Amino acid sequence: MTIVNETYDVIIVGGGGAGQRAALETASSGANVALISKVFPTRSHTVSAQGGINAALGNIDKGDSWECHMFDTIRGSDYLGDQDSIEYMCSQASRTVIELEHMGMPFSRNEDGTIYQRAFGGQTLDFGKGGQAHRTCPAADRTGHAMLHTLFQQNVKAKTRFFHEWFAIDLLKSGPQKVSGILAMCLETGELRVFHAKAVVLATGGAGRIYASTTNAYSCTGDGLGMVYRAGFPLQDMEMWQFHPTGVAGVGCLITEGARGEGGILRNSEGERYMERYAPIQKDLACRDVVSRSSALEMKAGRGCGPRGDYMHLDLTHLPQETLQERLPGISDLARTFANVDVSKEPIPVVPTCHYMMGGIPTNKYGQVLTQDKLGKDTFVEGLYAAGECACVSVHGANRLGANSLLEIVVFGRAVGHHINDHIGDIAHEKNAEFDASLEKALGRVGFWRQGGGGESIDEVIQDMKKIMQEDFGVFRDGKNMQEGLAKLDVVRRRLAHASISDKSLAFNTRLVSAFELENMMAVAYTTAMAALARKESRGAHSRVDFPDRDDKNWHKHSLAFEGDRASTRAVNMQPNHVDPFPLQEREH
Amino acid sequence: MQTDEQDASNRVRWRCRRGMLELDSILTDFFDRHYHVLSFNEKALFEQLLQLEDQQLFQWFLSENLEGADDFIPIIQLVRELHP
Repeated sequence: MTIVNETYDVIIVGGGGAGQRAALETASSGANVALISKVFPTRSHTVSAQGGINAALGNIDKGDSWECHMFDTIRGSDYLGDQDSIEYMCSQASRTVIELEHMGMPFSRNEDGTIYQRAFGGQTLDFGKGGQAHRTCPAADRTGHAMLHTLFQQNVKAKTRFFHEWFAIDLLKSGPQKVSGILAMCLETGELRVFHAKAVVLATGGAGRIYASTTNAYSCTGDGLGMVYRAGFPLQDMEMWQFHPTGVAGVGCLITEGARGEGGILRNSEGERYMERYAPIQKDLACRDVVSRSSALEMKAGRGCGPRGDYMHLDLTHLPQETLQERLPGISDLARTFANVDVSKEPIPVVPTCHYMMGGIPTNKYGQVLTQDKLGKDTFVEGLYAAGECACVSVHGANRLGANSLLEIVVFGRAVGHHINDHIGDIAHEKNAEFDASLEKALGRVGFWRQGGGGESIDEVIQDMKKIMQEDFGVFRDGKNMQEGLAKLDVVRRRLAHASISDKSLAFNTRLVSAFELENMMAVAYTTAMAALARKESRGAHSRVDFPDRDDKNWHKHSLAFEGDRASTRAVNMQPNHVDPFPLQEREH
Repeated sequence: MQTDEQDASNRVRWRCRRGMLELDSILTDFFDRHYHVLSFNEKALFEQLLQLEDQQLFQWFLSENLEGADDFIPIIQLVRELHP
């Protein structure tokens, strides 16, 4: 088989906000940049982000500051976030939003022409003592869409070369800790191609499809994480998954936190505003993990709504018509289509639903991918970067605050671009025996699916994996269930090694893509299960019945999971560069 | 050997993959259950529809507002009527 080789300065994998921001930064500095995306870039999952992007602009609250934003983010992370990365993100936030505004992003406006800012969960003034902050900058309830289109137009102008409907299969290594390219497949023709690069940036987004119930689009299959795992590098804090409190029951579609920011109230079957009991200060706008667990507790206590008591009510009926129409138009449409509800007259049935992966590919604040040497010392992988949801930089720690994800993708997409621009002159393209061996291994994976046959269908393997993750590694976790879940998952993982696909065609072989995606999801699921069982405490989104308290003495650290079931840990960064560290405190709600 | 028609069908199914779960759900469900019985013209119209932006499709499928839908109105209404 003849394989075409192409050479670029930078290869970006993923066309969402992080990938496009990194592409823009490098391409506009003159680098030869290719962006590879399995879907057309403006159909990336960033388009789903509704509520907004956080920045302490102070347009509503004059006393707001990036230091307060930093404090909220650290506290929200349950102190698992790296303070140097969080400091960098929050201090760059206002500049980043204004950059987007200057690129043409159509933010919502105040009457005086400044960018409108709404309240979101976990945001406070005066370091938790000054009440609710208004820090989230929206473009109506279509912020991700507006951002993605703005960045796409800028990338076209900067001459980024787009390979859309191409699937990235594996990283190609030219040394034990050096990446020099990728193998990718054109969906239209089935052609395999080697892309050589001085720098490879993974920006492949989340992996929520490992759960049976998720708000994530079908494309969120953890492709970058699978590539890193198979290359022998670790995944970090994989036990940390955010469950959004308000997914439409039975469907998963997300009702943005903006609905509660604009005054929406969660009620139980008795009509009680139950968040007043669980979080007397922040109430419905408490952190997502707190709200999700509160809803789950209400259902366990028999106060869930509906005939089976298996959902809660999100009540918007008291909101003025103009608020619903102007600030939350998409929510009314969504509730009507998927729940058959008129939000002005009836509450929306909602349940906690898998929404966001806080863990991922470990990086430093420049986006360089980190691994560990045999002595447990951090080292970075030459030529490999990651940004956005696939990365764990780690600004979200054990729990992400709403509207920090759009901020993260643009801040660290840009940071990756800066670092590449500063160092690309020192890097040479490399193709050596190790590179060839790496390519051979990747081609072996393709051959397994294209030529193999007679095995179990991948559909059953996918369904079994999702069911185990939902039942044993969801909102509530306990050791016994997780131990059994891990054993079941190990069996499912072994079945995958003997599965096959019947479609052997070349053009748009979506079964082959599904098989690759399943291998990536299995890496994500298994590392999630391993890390969740190993972390014997409750912190942020990771809530264990058998270890209900946070254990800073033993578990104030990041977990790492490698291929081959090897586990390790990394210290949490407590050394910001420009402000004093924020010491550990109990979270209050 | 895969036929050109099967290739085209696979291509259309892949393009039902969108950035939003809501559209994934509506479009993929429609494709799996109804695409094979569409007329040639309806199939062509559905494929053209998939070239459009997610927010546009979201508006047409999830709201009453079909502004700008023009030639796509019949296929949009069909998808909406058949949505479970």
